[in-house]
Amino acid sequence: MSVKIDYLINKQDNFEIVRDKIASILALEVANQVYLAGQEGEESTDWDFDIYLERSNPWELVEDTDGNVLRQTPLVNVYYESSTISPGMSDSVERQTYDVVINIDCLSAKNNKLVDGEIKKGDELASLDVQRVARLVRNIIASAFYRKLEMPTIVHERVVHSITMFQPNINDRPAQACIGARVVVNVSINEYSPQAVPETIDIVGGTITRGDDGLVYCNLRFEESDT
Amino acid sequence: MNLIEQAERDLDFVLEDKDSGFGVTVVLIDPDQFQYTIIGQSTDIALMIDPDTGALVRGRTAEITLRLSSVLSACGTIPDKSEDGTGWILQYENINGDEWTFSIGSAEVDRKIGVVKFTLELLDVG
Repeated sequence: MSVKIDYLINKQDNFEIVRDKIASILALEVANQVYLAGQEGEESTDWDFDIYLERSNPWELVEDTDGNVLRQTPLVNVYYESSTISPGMSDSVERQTYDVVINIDCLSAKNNKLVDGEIKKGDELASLDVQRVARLVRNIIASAFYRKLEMPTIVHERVVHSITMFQPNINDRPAQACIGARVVVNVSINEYSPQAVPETIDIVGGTITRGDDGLVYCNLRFEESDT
Repeated sequence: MNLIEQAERDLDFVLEDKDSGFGVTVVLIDPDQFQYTIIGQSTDIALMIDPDTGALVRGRTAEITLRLSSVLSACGTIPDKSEDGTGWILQYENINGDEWTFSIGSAEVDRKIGVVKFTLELLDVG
């Protein structure tokens, strides 16, 4: 048995490129939304959130040593979940079409807040905040400008499949409210894999015609090969 | 005096001994801004919050346990959360001298032994 793939596989697969592209689209558009909000005299922080890629370690977004919430700015974490082949659109040799699932997890943490003698509950503040983020994420990714995520040769289509809120575990009962929402984006993409380079045995050209009686004629022309 | 009565009496040094026990001074502030000072015990430790997204969030859980008879004697009622935003506020000072302000997430009463445990939520004032 011998090695068949005689070159280094040093490319990114398209599911990785798509994941990175979604994160970069969000970063670009959110920065612009913050700018536009400022231009229109709005509170720009209402359009702001931080974007991370493939983070799975525990977040430390809750509090500093003074007990204040560290990150009043919520965050999103873009990560790849799965690829499932679409058999009807794939061949077994060169190109396969996959339905890729990219999750965009949104998180917000809020303390209760005393405003004019009234206690605003942190769970409500965090929920509304994280839904604001999910709304922005959905609007950006679902925008017609990003129908093919600016990669028409790779992406067939993308769709925001679902938005799911996560209620906090009742047994935790933390001193701060932390609420999560997951925006699931399905992307249909092409994937390619290392191919055998075929050896040319001979070059054949031809013309296929149909006669008056319906008989099909095939006139072949054989080029003279080097060998 | 039966054992339950004895246990309630023991709360005097179990919960309310600030000099040689684990007691901390707790200030309860009612919606009309009246303040009531009681000695109790605190629990304030780190907690990993699971928002169900797959990545945990490092957080904190805080509880204060007070003697029920002391609470009723001082406040005349059991402080609790309020959904209309007029709830009680609770303050205490930890071992490092930092003062923390919370609102009450829940008040869980043990009427047999005579204690009430407040689950606390951090409160940003101002």
